[in-house]
Amino acid sequence: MAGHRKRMDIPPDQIEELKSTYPTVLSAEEGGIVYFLIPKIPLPNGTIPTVVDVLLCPTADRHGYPSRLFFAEQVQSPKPLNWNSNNVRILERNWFAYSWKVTQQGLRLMQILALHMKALQ
Amino acid sequence: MMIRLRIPKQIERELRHLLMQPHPFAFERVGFIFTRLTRCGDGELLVLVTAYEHVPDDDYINDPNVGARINSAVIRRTMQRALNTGEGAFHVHIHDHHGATGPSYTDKQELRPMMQSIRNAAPQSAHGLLILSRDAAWAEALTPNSLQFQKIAKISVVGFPTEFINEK
Amino acid sequence: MKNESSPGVSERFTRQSFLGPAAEEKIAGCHVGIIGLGGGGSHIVQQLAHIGFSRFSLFDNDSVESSNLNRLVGGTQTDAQKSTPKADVAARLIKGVNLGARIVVIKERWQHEAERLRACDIVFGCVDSYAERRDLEIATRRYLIPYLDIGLDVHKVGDEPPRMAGQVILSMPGELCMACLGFLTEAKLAREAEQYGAAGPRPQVVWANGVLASSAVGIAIDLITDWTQSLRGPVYLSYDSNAGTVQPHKRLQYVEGRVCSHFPIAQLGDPIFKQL
Repeated sequence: MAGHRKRMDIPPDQIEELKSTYPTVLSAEEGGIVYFLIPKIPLPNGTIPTVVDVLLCPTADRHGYPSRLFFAEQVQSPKPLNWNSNNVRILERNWFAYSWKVTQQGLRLMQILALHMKALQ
Repeated sequence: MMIRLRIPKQIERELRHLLMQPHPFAFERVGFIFTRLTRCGDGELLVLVTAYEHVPDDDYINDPNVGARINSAVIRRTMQRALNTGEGAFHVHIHDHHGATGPSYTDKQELRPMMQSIRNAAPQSAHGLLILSRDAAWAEALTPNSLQFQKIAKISVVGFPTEFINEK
Repeated sequence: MKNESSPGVSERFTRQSFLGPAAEEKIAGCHVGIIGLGGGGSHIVQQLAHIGFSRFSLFDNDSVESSNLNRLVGGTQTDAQKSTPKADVAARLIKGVNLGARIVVIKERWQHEAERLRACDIVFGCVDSYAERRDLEIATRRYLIPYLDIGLDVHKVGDEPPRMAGQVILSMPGELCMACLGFLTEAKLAREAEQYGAAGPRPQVVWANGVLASSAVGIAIDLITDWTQSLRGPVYLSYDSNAGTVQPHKRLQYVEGRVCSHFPIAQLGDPIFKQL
């Protein structure tokens, strides 16, 4: 986030791994941060809705988390979650995210995504 | 429907500097700006300038009857870039005087059809003409699905200072 | 009514004719957006209206409460009783000075009407959180809009008297952003995220808001009239209320020559998603 920091270079094999599970995944950069958009990702059982667009930010985002998973709408889950980011504007859409800190270091993209999604189970 | 055009100061400075350089035989120099089109509420449109491409010396045709004539290679390159990137293209040149400016008879007769052709390469963007004087500007755009060029209501150069250069 | 001694200058703006012969026209033609119409934003609105700005987009989803009356310029006790929307208070204030002003009143958070922000030539941000500042800066950078941010905070350490301080920052497209200037940092954003919900209302006082608002408005005037012919680089003003000073932030000496890499020109406009 400081002016001298370089953009994160995501290893290509991790992107391929993400793409092999979610072939429609797209990426875009904003404010020096790379995001991955996964349209209509299926959500764990017990959530409403059952599919939703998500935006994965695998690096420290501009909202203070080491990584973050944003949703196109608030999702009802079996366990109540603290949706503390509502209508945050990223890539010219409004997104929602719950408070969920993934602190492990050295995770692959798919692992970061999975750990964030675990909160919905 | 109001259309605005915004140019980053560094691009405006660059294109003014290059367009004022003398050419071995052409009376004027020309170039193209490339743009992105977006909406800004209430049906208004915003054209953002992202780059300037200067026409090199060798791509002019010696025609003393007009200020400047460019060859077909320039038009092909401009169309190709529009096709590859989806950007809009605007023909740019300078009328070397102070105050309000606008298209000459030749500008209207020759440049409008050229930009209509280039639009075919990226019909989802806006294409048109930008004419600068030393301290003002005039522009018109052909927006998606429109048949007529529409005058751009506001041209801003964004930087230090920020200028609204069509309001002279 | 034109003034004979200052041709082209309406009588009501005679005292600001030093801004230049075309200043009145430039000011009237500039569309300003103000995000947040509380203590800071209401000051800004008042000053812009008096100076002669005539095109406004006002964004705030909040209504007046009695706790606002210590600082909400234009707000009245009746507004607090009736819970008048702050955006309506601001519009009323503008119309009281400039009947001909064209005002778009958006009683929503700006994120719900973000497209309307793009029509603005300058945006003033008077918001509470660092995260929202960053989001606003990004939204304005995309569409080539200079963004002026103001903020105020009060800190108390031990038994020392409270320290009140604030900032005015101009985030100019193509120039250093708030991260480059060291104002927005990962550490600040992380601390803010941890404190979410526990921070409570921020201290706010009218005189400090006035200092910040005046500084921001002065920068905006200089930006569009160029009356000082000296505004050519980063603006980051540091306000120390205890000392009564407003001065360039000391960080500016460390960023000379630096180029912002966070907002490349290729990212102007609507986002472009790449297939992987």
